[in-house]
Amino acid sequence: MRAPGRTLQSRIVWTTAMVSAVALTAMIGTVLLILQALNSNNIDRRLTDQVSAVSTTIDVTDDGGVSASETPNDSIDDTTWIYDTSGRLIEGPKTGPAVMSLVESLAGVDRQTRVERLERVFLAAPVRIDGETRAVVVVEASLEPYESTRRAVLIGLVGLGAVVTAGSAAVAAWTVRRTLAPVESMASRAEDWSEHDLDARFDATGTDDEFARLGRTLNVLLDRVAGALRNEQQLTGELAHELRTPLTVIRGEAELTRMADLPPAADERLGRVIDLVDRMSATISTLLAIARGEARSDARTTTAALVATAIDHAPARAGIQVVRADDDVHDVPAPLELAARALSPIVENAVHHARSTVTISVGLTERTIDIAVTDDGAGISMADPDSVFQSGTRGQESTGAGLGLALARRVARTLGGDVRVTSAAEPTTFTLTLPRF
Amino acid sequence: MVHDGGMTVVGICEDDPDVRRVLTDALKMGGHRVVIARNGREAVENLGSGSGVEVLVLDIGLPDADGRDVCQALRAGGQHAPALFLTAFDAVHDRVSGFHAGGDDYVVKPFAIAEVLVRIESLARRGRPQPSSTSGLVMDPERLSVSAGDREVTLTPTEFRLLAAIAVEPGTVVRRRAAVAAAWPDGAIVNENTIDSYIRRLRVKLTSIESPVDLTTVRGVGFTLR
Repeated sequence: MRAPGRTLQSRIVWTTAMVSAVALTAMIGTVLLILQALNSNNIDRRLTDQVSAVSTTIDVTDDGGVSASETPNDSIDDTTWIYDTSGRLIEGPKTGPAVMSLVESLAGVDRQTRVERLERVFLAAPVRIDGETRAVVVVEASLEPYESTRRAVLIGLVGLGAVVTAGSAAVAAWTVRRTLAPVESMASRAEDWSEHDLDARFDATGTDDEFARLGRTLNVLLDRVAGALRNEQQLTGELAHELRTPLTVIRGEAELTRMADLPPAADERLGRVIDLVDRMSATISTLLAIARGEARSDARTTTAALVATAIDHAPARAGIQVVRADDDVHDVPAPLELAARALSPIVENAVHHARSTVTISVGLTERTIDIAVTDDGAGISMADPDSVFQSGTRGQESTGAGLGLALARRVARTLGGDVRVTSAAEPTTFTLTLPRF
Repeated sequence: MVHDGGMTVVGICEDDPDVRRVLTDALKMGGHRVVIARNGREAVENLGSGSGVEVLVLDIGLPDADGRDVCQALRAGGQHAPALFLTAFDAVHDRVSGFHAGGDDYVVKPFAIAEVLVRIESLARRGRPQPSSTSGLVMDPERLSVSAGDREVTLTPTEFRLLAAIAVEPGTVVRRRAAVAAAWPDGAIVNENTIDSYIRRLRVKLTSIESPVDLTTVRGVGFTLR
């Protein structure tokens, strides 16, 4: 059973068990009180009867003293003491000093007196003959048999209470699990549909019970989720069209112009226009991939494929080489295309700033894959290296919009990872962290 | 058909005038002839089977129709020139649906002109086998309708795509799986009864326009027009 409070099921089961335990405890207490009262009554009646029986055996002798004839029951004799008015023991068993001392303290009572001590009940009563007190009878009864019975009853009731409490909890658990099973099923189906099937709905027609109402409520929520996603997809599509169409024209015009004989400087400028269009296009693709939720797909790749893709896409720069430090292959639970969109801007940034070499190395921790991109450039001059991830932050010689690293971090975080500066200078290292599972 | 470095007649259906001009200029610089359509309706009118077009370049996001529906309508009308889709959508299902609609290749905007030219010339060299007959049906992707003679009936988008896929080559059986891929979104799970229900509705609509061909079910295989 789960800890109380974690789930509705465990809360109901624990509450049922607690209520059951409290009710049974109260019941056991009541039974024990009633039992004690009955025992007390029985003992008192028995002792009173015993006093009455013994009193009838007491006679006044000729010399004014008292004598007691033997009772037919030895057990009565063993628990009865008779004293005359002077406090002399006329008849009675010899027992332990504690009992004798207590009995003797009762020998002078002038009215019926009850004392409960030494696991016994003592009853002392004066005996009147011809209107005059002639003797005092003290009788006792052991409480031990009654206590034994009480203990046995207590153990039995506690055992029964435990069984009933456990049984109540088990029945509650079974009932709640059975009752809530449709709810769990509906919750998991709604979650699955919200991700994979926007058109699926619960059949909430025909009945009007709680589950049908829940189904209708979930259907309304699914309608809203589907509507929001469709709006997002429509917006994404319109955005793609609106941005990519003018980029197509810009790129096409530049290409067509380059096909003519141009001065080298003009050709170079148009080449830069084409490069910038390609970079903007890549940025749009990244944003669209994030908007489409491609990170939620089940696609997987490997570190080898990811690093190879990033190296393939790295810009060529004279005198700069991009190398892999190791050939280990590890599974990466992310789509290659999207993971590469997180790694490529880091590699591109390193190529841009390196003096001669960019090194890509892969490491593993218990939960993450760490891909470190190290360059031997001048390092990050900013006081806070993390500020390079802010949109619009760009180096002095950069020709971009300062979105590359910001997008890389955003993509990495979409995938459940991150991009951090792990060494600001000598060497400069950016580390892409992706979850292993 | 002239290929291998010779002139190719390329039919372009693109609504954006700037993209259209860039493509036209590039193709003309490459020595090809261009037939223009600015929307789906013009594509059906200008780029059909009698137009002499050898390669189709179709934008998917047209103002009056989906470029994939235009392609299916052209196919159903007997135009079997290879088709290259231009698309601003690069998701897998967008690319796959273009192939299911009868496309042969695609490029994502913004594209490299040089690459588009190479792909068009490659498609022109490859060509497509011409069907032995046509259905006699005319499909309009803008109105989502099918007509025979002067009788016309409107269809739902799914009915349109399903009929267009079957009408590509009368007499050839189109498998159920291919029909589903052409008519429903990529990855959709379509019940057999659902397809049969659509086929029944299409039969009724074809009968209403006195179609010269009958939509027939080939048990356990698929559907054909005879």
